[in-house]
Amino acid sequence: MRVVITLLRPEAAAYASRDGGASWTRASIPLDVPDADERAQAALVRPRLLAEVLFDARDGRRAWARARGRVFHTEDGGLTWAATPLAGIVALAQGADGLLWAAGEGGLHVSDDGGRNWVHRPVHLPGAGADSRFRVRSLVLDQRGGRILLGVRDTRSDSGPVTIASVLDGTSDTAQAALALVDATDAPPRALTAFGQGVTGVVETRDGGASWRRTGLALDTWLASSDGVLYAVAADPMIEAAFLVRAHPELATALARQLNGLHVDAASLGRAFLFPGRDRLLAGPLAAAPVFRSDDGGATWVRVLSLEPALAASLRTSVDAQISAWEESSPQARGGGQPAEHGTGANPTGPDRRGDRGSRRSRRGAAAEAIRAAPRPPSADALQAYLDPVRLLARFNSGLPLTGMARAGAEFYAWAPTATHWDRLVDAALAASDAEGEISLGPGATPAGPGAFTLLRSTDGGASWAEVAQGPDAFDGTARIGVRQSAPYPSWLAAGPREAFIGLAARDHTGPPWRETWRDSF
Amino acid sequence: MVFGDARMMWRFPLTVGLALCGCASYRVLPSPAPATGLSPLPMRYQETHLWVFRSVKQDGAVERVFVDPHD
Repeated sequence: MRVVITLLRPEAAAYASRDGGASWTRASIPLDVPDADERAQAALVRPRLLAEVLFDARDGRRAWARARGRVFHTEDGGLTWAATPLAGIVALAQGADGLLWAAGEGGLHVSDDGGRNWVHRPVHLPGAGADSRFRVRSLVLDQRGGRILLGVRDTRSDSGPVTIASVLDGTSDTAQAALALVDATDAPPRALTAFGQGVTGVVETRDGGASWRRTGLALDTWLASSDGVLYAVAADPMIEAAFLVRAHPELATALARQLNGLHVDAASLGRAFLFPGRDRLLAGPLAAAPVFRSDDGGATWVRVLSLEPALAASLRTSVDAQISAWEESSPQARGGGQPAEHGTGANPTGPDRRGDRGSRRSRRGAAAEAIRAAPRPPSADALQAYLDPVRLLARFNSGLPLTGMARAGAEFYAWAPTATHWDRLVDAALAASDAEGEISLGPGATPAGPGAFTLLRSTDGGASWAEVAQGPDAFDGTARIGVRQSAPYPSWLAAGPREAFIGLAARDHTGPPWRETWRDSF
Repeated sequence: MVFGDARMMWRFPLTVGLALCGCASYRVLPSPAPATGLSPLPMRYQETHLWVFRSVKQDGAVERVFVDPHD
């Protein structure tokens, strides 16, 4: 089994093994190594050395790695890696014909010699101005039709905090359009072209990138395919926010009061924090945004109101990877910052930890209708954290995502919080909200206590899940982790055909995070 | 002046020696054979100073693992 690991200690380096870890060889790879502090604090949720390794399905010596938008390739099983000239890459994919595709800034690139040489295929859309600028979110190879699809977001689409906040009361045209799109649950298959700005949407090429055209989806989405059917998960912050407003009206009402300078009664939030159940948690970002499906190759789209667990698992692993790449490639991330555009792992120590609000003052005991200076409207990230219980509670879980998933073929591996741990997080969030008189974004350390999470494994493509047997104290590292009052919790997963690796972390505010790696052999 | 040159003569090898002491090389040691089921993955490594002084430590920290799904 081929394995590549990246180490933070004793040195920032990559090692490769061809025998599942029985022996390790230091890889020679010209990485941009972040400084030690950044590595120690940031790498819990988002990897800092290598973001992705794509193993060649046909040649066991060949693999490609992506790190901070750069791409490296190896032809000797991971011992030596050479840098390619590519930059700003967010997605790599290998076609059935062996061609390697890379998408990111500047569009599409293709290599027919394993990554040594690349040909640029810029994305020119009919009708798009020469000054069009976009970022690629998704790359999908449609193996049946020989098509390549990209999900792109026009860089002029960014909505400011005021516009985003208008989704709470529908006071802007954009907010009303977003709410109408979310409410149209029974609309027949149709082209969705009324929302995206500029070149935003899904574009396709049928000739390897020589010419491009738009599909019937002009919406900012994460794109994935399963069994030849296209799926798109809304990524537009306004659409996501509109979806969350409808899904969690208690939080929306409370946030609207908060933004008008009114006191928020924490007791009124309890209903929004009922344990959602394992299947919903395992759907991850697909449970927090509208999902669309196209049965005709992208011409028309229909809303998907419920996802079978297997389909949700298949789409989730793809969307998670895209979100991670998007966050890693953002300018803020490249500069060492900590954006949390999507809630796979809110960061409790990042720049938006207070939700972009004004000053923090304790308001315990404040009069219920006390009027205070209205805080600044929250950013898109903060708004989504306010409105999405899963994202909000992650902030009280040391910033560690509540769920995660990895796959190797039909084998899936995942973690999810127990109902007990969920309730502990809710207690922490409500106590903080009560103290502040508004919805609190934390941060908070993972509450200590046994049985915080369950590890799950599926051998049927995610259709059914079985709990992985854990010893009673398998992850109870309280005695040895040196982090007080904080429970170890998974921060990442990697799945192979016969083994899964689990990264556990714990941190509080007294020192560097504690880490441990476990594996499950089956 | 002569005294200054002599001091420089001592300083140079001393600086090089201290730098060599500070520089260490590492070699990750084989992982234990996996047991069926869950088990910790200790990251043991050998630290070498001055090509001579070696010690085995167990506090290696993994950032991520990437597994070939095709195997």
